[in-house]
Amino acid sequence: MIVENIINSLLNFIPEIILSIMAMVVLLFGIFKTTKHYIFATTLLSVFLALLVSIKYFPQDNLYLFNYSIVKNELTEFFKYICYIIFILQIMISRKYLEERKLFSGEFYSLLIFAFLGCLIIISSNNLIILFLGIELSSLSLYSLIALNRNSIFSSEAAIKYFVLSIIASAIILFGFSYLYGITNSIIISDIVAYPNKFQVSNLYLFSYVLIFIGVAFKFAVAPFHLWLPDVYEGAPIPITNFISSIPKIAFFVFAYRFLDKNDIFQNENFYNLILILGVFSIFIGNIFALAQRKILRMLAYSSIANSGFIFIALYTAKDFNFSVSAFYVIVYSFTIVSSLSIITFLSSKKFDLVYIDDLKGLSSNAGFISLLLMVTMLSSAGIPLTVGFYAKYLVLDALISSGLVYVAVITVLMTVVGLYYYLRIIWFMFFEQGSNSLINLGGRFHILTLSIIPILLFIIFLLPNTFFKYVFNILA
Amino acid sequence: MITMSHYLVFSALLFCISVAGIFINRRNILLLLMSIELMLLSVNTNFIIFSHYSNDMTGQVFVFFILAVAAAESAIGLAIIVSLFRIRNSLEINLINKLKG
Repeated sequence: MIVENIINSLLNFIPEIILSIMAMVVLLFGIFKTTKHYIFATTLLSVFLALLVSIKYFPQDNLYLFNYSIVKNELTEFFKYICYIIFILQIMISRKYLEERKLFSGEFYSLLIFAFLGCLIIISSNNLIILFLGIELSSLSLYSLIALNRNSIFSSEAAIKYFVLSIIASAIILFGFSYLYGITNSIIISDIVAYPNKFQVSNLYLFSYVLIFIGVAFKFAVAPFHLWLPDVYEGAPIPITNFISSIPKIAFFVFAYRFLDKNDIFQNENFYNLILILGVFSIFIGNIFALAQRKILRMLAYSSIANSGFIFIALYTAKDFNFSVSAFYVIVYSFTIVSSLSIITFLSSKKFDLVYIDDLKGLSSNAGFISLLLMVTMLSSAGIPLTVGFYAKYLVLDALISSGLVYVAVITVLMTVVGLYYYLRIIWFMFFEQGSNSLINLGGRFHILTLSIIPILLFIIFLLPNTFFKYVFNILA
Repeated sequence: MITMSHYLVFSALLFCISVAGIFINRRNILLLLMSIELMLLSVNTNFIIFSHYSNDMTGQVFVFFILAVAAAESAIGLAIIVSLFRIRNSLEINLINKLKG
């Protein structure tokens, strides 16, 4: 019986096993000169393989593996597929940038796969130990990835900042875990979450939840805990920025969902107000500070802080409805930011990093199509119709008003209008300002094809929202 | 008589001391690493106390995982510090200010 259980668990865990083995294979390939050319292909192939296998082992029902340590159901698989798609796009875009800066190596892709694996484990863990190991696997790999450019003063500075603040976040989360373990005497998350429905909730339980969500706020870079984000965005190699901006956020969203879903603690006034206040403050800080930025990566960092605030507000509305609004927002936001960061990666050439917004001046006269793609992405981040970002923001506002918080909705809309300025400024620079930059990279038909996938998706989902919406709503209902 | 709550207060104090160590410390990055280590150790004490008082071994298993991860973390932290030191020949925290908008 036990043996059967283990074999069944291992079979259903094959995608993750493939990824971990292939990460080591890629690391080995990087050492030898003859195999060094195959790193990129191996990475892509292994991620594709893992995706195919995980589609093949799609669970019909809630599936618990390894003695309730790992949970697989429609929801986790859905978020994993989204992560896979984003990850494949990021890998495809990253190669040219890395080769030009002599960062193209086995370590890079190996660590990247490990970071991705950590995020997948966060998504499907049902056990505090596994969850902790997933968080650490992804963040340990990311520390070294950020510091990978050893000659750059910015890179190691960003790494030390990310390192310190990320460990503080992990330690705060762990401190919360320790209290949860003490109260409920269990490390299985579904037991912990079911605890308030059976017993009287003590203040300590609430306190541990507050600690855990402060840690999550650190990882999401929500306003009082956002200080590391702009520096990391600027200092890290852009493909890593691309990774940090999207996949860990999806993973931590599922983390938050797992701890809040069907939990009576979420009806506690103090707790949900904490989430709401963090969200509103973050929207405020993010949008105001983004106005003042001259560097495009810092601007995107502050806009991502504002978007994290939106995610937190959407999480707040889940106390009355369900998590579909916030899930939809997270997905749309990560696709959008991946698209804009991929375009920035693409435009940087060997001797030139796209740092200042001014560098985009007159881009449309040289590269009409790329500037069109960037325009669609920016419009989607701003939440303007004809892109799916509009629905994402609209649903959050609708849910807010339905739960009776009209004044918060008004503040949110006002701050979104402020946000319009810095998104539209980029479009203005590209289309209506004169100037040309000879160093900017415009070549590579294959890359342009890859880049256009997400903006086209953003447009198509705007036209045909129902199918996608219904799918997300069904899963999270 | 030392009860469970005494131990819990002890580990909470340890945690607060380490957080203060991180935020007050303005001199050296190595002290930062030590504070981080202390932070994780205070979590460990918590787990051990709960595990002892509820006769459940799981908490102690958790402690081993945390110890292993903390070791890996400080290794990576030291590696980052070495690469930082090679570039700018100092470990002063005040000098880590090259990234700004």
